Amino acid sequence: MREDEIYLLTKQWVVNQELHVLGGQPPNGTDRFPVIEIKSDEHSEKGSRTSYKPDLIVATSDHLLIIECKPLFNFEDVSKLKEIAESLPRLEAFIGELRQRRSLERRNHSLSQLSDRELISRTRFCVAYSGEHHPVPNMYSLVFSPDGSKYSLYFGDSIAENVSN
Amino acid sequence: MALQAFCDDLNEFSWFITLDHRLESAEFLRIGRRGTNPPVVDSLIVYDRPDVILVKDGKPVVTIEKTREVPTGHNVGQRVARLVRSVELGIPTIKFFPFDARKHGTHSSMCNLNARLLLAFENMWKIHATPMMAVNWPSDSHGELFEDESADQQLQELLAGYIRSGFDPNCKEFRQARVDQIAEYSSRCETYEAYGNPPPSLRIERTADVLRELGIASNSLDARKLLQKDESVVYEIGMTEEKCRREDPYTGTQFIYDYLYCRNGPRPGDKNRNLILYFPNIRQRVWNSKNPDDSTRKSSNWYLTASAHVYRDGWTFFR
Repeated sequence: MREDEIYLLTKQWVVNQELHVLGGQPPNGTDRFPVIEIKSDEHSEKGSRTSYKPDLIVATSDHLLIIECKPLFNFEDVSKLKEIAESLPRLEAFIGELRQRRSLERRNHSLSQLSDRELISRTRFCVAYSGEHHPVPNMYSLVFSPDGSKYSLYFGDSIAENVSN
Repeated sequence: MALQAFCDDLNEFSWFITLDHRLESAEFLRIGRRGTNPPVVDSLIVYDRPDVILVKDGKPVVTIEKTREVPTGHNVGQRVARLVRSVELGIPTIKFFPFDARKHGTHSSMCNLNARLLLAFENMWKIHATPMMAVNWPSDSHGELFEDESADQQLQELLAGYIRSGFDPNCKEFRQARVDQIAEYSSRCETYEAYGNPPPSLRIERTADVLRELGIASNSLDARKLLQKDESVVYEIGMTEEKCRREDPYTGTQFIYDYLYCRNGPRPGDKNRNLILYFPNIRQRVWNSKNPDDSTRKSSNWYLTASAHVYRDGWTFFR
């Protein structure tokens, strides 16, 4: 499968779960929702090479989910997400972007009532791909069958909660 | 009728076919590298690749470009070359983008469309007798773009009318879009008068004065050809030699200025003023090595419509 196919399957999965897409960036072209840019610690300017634009940003009933899509399991994606997860300035930048766009407020989403600190603690990460499952601690893995007809959602070691609307 | 939608991406295709129920049967085909597509598509992508090309019974019937960016400031010309190619080939063309939206970042503010683009589109329409339409992606009072189906409503209505008419470029929806486009231009010029005049990066002067200012001897054969047009438009591009291997947004902007201030016919040579691209910081040798007129490279877009290039130490006449 190609990256745009995984992106589309993941987006469809999000819709089927009745979750809210807040932002993201398809592999090519443009989608309806905004591109959210998470700037690096050192470079605060827009368009910086080290800034990161997640493929999909989703709000569940209790969490924010940052999803990276690739045709096959990609360790670089895991590292990229891990880097964000372990950097408080980048998580703050992420929440700041959502606040500036009023992404949760415009949807009257209950998460909009939470403080930035609380939203940071409720940010989760997910890698989406097709093929065999590769366990990743602290992250969800959304794994599609090679023909895209089936999927499985795996929880990383330390994740207890399911994804729900 | 057999419909094919050539797109770069499955996501773009899946959006496009939701615009009208009669598009649901369209076959998805990826736009491949040049030389790998049907000739009608290859011919359309010689300047650059649009987002969607709808082909009906083997003939392109509409080209669509979609972007979340408001064409303003330096970036107004981005994506324009690919649209020009489409109208040059007589294919109705739509650019779907926000006229007004909020820019995010440290200095968040509202961005408004550079209205000159609308007049350039009208001139393209007139010159090529082919619809060239700007369709607004609406935003809310905070400047955030609509994200639900209502975002596409105007585009849907336009396409529905076009399809219903049997893909008649003269359908009433397109005619109305033209009226609206001109009205939008006038209304924006009333709000911001500067859009009724050339931008600061451009000057319109007598050709003889331009040649003198740029240090071009007026007795050469090429200079005499330029002098056949009384006036010239000089578009000054301040790129440095280190950063001159690029096209966007300048090669699109040159078309906007061409259609606004120079063009009077469908061929690049049909001009009532010369269009001179002036690079005051770049030597000719450096330019030629970094931006050759090589049809396999996007740098060839620099040579599509200008009358001449003037560099720090020389110049080249084209048409």
